[in-house]
Amino acid sequence: MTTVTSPLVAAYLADLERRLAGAPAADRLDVLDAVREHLDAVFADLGHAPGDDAVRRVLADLGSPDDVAGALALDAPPAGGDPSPRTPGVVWVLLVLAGLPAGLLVGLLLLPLALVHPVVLLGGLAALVGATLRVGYRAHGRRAPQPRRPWRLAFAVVLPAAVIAGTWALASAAFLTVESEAVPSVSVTSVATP
Amino acid sequence: MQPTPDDVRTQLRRGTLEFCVLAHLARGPAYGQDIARALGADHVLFASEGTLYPLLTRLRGRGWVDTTWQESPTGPPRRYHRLTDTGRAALDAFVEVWRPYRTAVDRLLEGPPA
Repeated sequence: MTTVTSPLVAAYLADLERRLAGAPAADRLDVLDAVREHLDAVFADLGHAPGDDAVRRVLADLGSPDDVAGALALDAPPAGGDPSPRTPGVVWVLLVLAGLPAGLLVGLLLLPLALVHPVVLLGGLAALVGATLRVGYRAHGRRAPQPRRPWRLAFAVVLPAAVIAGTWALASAAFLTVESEAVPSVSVTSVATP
Repeated sequence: MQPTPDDVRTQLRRGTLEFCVLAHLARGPAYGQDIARALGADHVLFASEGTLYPLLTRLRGRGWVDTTWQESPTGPPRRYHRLTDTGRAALDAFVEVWRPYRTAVDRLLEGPPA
């Protein structure tokens, strides 16, 4: 509802709108409306239609669109500063190392599935891959919601664990299949019944 | 790289300006333009008046400021901002820290050498 339809004002507001493009829609509209209202009020106080010089002066007092839009982003982490604490490299190494025995354990748990039926094992492996992909997405996905840090830590364990578990379960299942063909069903029942 | 006075001001404003707005509203509800005029007059607190409006948006997002529409003496209704109870609590927390902080800095800058 800008009463002053100066092309300078229109250009300023258009510029500001572009600078605010990254902000949530509600915030963007809120700032734009407030700035428009400010301009209306200032020009109304002049009591007469402002000339280009007056408009320029008022816009200069308002600040550049960059400055105004930048003030909305101040809640976001300041550029250059890293808001999240760094995780030391040794932690990542320990997490990956912890994933290896965890993978062996999970692989061991997957194994009875192979004894029920190979398809069940494949289902278990698919679930494993699915879970790994999900954690990986939350950890490193470009559009994954924040915070991603806990997911990254989890992914450091889950990925090696899943690789080990999958390989280990598949290898063992293949071995057992060969074995059970040699000695039909004996080893199968003995392992399958708890 | 040597910081310019503007750089230093920008850094200081980053942590204090929103509380200056709260402090102004603690005296009573106000239109945005009044706040801009009061705080921006000497160009110390504000680099430019326009930065007030995003700041008010953020303060409202945090529930520190409540905005209503109020008939203005001239022209259409305008945004009218008032401090909420949580806003007042935030201001109190700031004041509690600010006084000893300011004293410590002043003592360091102006006091006798240790």
